[in-house]
Amino acid sequence: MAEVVLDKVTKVYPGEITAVRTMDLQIRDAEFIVLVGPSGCGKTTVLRMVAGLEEITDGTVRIGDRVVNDVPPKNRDIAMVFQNYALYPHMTVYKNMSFALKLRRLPKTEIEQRVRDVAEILGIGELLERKPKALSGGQRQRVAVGRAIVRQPKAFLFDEPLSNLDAKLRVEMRAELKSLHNRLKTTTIYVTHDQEEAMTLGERIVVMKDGQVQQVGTPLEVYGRPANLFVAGFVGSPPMNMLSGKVIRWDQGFYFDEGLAKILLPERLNDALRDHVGKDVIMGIRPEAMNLHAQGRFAGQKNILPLTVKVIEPLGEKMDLYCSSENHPQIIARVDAEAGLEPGQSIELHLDLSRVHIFEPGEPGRNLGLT
Amino acid sequence: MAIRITRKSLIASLVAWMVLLIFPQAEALASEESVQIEIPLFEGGQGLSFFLHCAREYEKERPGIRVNLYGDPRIVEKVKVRVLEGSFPEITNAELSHWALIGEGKYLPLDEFLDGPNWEGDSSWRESFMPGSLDLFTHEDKTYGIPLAYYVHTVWYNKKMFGEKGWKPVQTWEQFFELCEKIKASGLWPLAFQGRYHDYAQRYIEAAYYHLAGRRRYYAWGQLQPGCFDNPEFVQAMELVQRLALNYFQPGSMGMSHTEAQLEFFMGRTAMIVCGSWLKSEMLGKIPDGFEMGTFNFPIPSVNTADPSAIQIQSGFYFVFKEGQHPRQAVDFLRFMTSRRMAATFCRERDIPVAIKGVNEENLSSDTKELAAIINASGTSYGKIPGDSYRILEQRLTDVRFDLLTNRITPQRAATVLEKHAATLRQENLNPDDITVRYVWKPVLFLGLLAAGIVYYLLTSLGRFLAARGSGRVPASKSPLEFGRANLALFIGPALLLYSVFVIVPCMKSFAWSVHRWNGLGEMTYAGLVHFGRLLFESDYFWIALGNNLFIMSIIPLFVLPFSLFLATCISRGITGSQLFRVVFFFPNVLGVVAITLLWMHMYNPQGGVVNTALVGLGRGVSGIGLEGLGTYLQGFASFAWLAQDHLYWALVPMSIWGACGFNMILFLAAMESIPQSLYEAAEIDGASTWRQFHSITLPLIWPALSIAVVFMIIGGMKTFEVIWLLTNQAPTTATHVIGTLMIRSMFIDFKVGQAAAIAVLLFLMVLFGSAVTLRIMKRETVEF
Repeated sequence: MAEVVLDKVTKVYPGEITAVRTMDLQIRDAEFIVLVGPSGCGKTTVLRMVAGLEEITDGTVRIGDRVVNDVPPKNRDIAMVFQNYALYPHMTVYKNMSFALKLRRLPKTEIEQRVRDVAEILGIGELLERKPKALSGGQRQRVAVGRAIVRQPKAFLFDEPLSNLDAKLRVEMRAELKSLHNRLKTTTIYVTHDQEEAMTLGERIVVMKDGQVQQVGTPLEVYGRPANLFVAGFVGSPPMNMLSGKVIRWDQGFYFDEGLAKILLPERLNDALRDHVGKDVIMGIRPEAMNLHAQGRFAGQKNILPLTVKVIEPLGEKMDLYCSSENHPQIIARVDAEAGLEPGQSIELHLDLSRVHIFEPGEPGRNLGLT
Repeated sequence: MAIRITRKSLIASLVAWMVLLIFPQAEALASEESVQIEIPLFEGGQGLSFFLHCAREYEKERPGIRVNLYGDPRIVEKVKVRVLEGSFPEITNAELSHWALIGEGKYLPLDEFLDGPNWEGDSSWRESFMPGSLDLFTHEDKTYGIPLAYYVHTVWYNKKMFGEKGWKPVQTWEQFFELCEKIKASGLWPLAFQGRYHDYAQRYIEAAYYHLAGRRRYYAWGQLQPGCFDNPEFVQAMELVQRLALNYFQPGSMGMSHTEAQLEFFMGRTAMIVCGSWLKSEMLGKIPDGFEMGTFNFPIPSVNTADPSAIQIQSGFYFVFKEGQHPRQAVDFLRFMTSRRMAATFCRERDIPVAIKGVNEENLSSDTKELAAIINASGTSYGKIPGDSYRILEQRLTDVRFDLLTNRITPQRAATVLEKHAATLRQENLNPDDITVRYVWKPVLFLGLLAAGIVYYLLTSLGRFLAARGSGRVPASKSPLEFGRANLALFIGPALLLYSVFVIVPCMKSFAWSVHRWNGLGEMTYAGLVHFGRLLFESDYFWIALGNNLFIMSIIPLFVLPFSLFLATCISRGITGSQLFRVVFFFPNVLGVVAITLLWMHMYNPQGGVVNTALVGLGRGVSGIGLEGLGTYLQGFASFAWLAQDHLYWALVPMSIWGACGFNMILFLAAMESIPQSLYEAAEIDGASTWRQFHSITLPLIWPALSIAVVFMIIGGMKTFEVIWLLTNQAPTTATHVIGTLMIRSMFIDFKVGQAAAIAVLLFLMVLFGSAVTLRIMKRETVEF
């Protein structure tokens, strides 16, 4: 087990395509970190650079005490689980799992012991003599993980390992991976494009876009205090609502004027908003930070957004309201389920002002509340 | 969804098929309303233009007759097939087995016409030919062949060179050797020799023997009389030829084709060459300006014992098939072709003497004037021995000739070998069913392996069937598409029909022929398993040929498979420069075997070919850096005759690597590119070296492609034919035959149809079970990625 440190790591592909830009990241020993971002953001490239499958154009990667830029993959003491599992199709499960151990010339008895132990942990003891084609998706996934664990590496690298599974199995495997990590306590770098997976698995999340790190933090930090417009929009489902408008100063306070309504902004933003009076900003509010009734955190008179209901999606205890107004084509609110609402009906949504974010417009769309 | 096809549409499609099949014949019927004479010709040194011109002129003379004249250097193959199937053209000059055809009454005797008028009408047709020129194909007072060109074998010399050096044409062998010595002393090689077509050596042997033994004994070869080979004169003839070959033939000549050797003569690198009258015509366009040719007759032992004017002539005769559709019209065409006007045109155009009186003098150039003088002065002529037995002996003669020219056999031994073989042939003719058991272990092993292969295949098939039944994987008997019988017939019928007509029926016919004795012309008689018995228990040819097939089958893949695997790996791993190799090695696949062979024939040219030049150059370079031993060894390849029959098989290795690697490389590359890159990455992380990745990932995953490649190479090895046939000028020695060439030789040269079919049956069994068992042994579970 070891920490993994990326210091100003850059990857430029032929044709001057920059996949990763001066990335700094310190992954603590035994930490489960998730790299998340949309396709092409460079997260897999980072993982492959750590694995040694891609050359590093600039900067250094350190695993434990060793800079591994020029160390071949086999000597980095890492194990990787691939998106398509990359099981050797002509070998049995046992041979797949023992291949690396055999190459290290471990004694036969030890190889057998380790494989059987891991198989036991993963519940694939019965499958050892089968070939990959005779396994289900979930079983293949377990074998791929088993093949990584059996080597007892310093770090695990997972490259979107759950994306080939169906939704139910994905949820199950997610939980298993988490408990496995709790048990093994091995440094793990996990790549996914699924923010929900990132939120549930990671101790910390690294949100990436266009080869650059947007934010590093615990799932709650990233969710609750998104660093910029991209993170705010990417993390969370349904995504955060973004309303454009202006900051105005009125009656001792700062308001967000979206055209039809004026929303009183919380005092904690006052310092940050002082220089933005009269300027365009974007207000972000998560769907669950809105309510149909002015009660509790939603109480007040200066937190009301008049809207028209377009679609109602019942989710059981909650329901999603897809609304619009003259200035905003779509605003989603997740509210307690109740009867009596119809599409086309005018409503007033009450905002939880403590959970309102103000962003600068354009790129990168800094969260003004974090400065 | 079930496919529904009505009975009406089925009938309509079948009618369409029938029309398609019948249509070509309908067209043929329509065109047969006018008289058409079909003349397939050998397109050799004399070219074809004159004959086409002659055909058009004849059509003007005889309106309503169409002459379908065409030519091809390999026309003999086509005409042989026509003869075997009994659909005869009208006229041909192809080098067929004339005496067999005369014996079977297939050629029209021409005496009735020869005694009639010639085309000009100023003499009889017979009278218009030079004296003796009709003799070669006159048998029991009947004449069958008509000559146009007078093909005389003589010694050609470089007249200018002879003039400058003061050398003179000679008459006797002793003078000839003295002349050769003088030439050699001047730093030149005396004789160019068409070594790859070493039938040219037969010209020397026949000239020497004719003059030593006399006309009567020379023609006794035809009857294979006892003592016709093992006699002092024959030994002496062989001694003369061997002495000449070993001392005065240009080095490397055993690896040269006729044109390559002839070019050596015209380029002034040798002083003389023996060739027929077509030499100049054949080399037109390649003769340097100002080159003057002279010619003198073959040397004789001494002026007192032999007739120095006797000339050696070769068949260039035209025959009329009795069973052609218009034989009399065909004879009329020949009368026109041998008219003085046409003969003069030929003479002028090709500068080849003709057998028609009063034409040569005015129409030949100065290059061939000496030849015309030799012809005019000749009192007698000699040439190919009439009769059949001599032809059957040809294979052994080919072997002995090659061994004699390359000093592998003494003249006395050569005579003994031929005599012994003649005795065997006599015996075989007397008792065709007797088989002398000369091989025991080889046939036992061969049959045992074949039987083991069949048993193994059947047992494993049974095992698979039982296993499939056990696991309930027996394929459903009913297709999900509800095919009715009519639909089934529609979809499978045409293919089955074509396959039956072109494959199954001929195949069955071969099986039937293999137990018969038949020369393709006369009666077919039942022979039982005698051909198989002779091939397996008596024949050297079969075992030697099989050995050669095994060489091609086993040694060549040893080079080709690893090399193509290596190339495919380099390309799939994207190694720099590998794209170039992809093109270079895939290129032969668009060329075809014949083109590849011709290309390599030039590369292997002993004088100035790329291979020898490169090796000698490398040798010089290596010597320059101090590696004297290696340098001398490599420089020893100057004039090395790669394509001489004794080096032929090793020369095939680079040819095959280049020819076969591309296909295998593509096969492997396609298999490799279907392996996901992530497997290699996983293996790399697991700690596998490049070699280990190849061994543990690539190889097992491309195994199906590899086993197909092995089976292709086995089938290819067993079916080898074109390469050997081309490189040996259709006359392989016994040592260079493969099963395929042996089969073709038996069929089309020896006309032993039954024996050829027996070889085909054995080949079929070997290929079928060889490839089936190999596939079965190499079979592994299919992998899915």
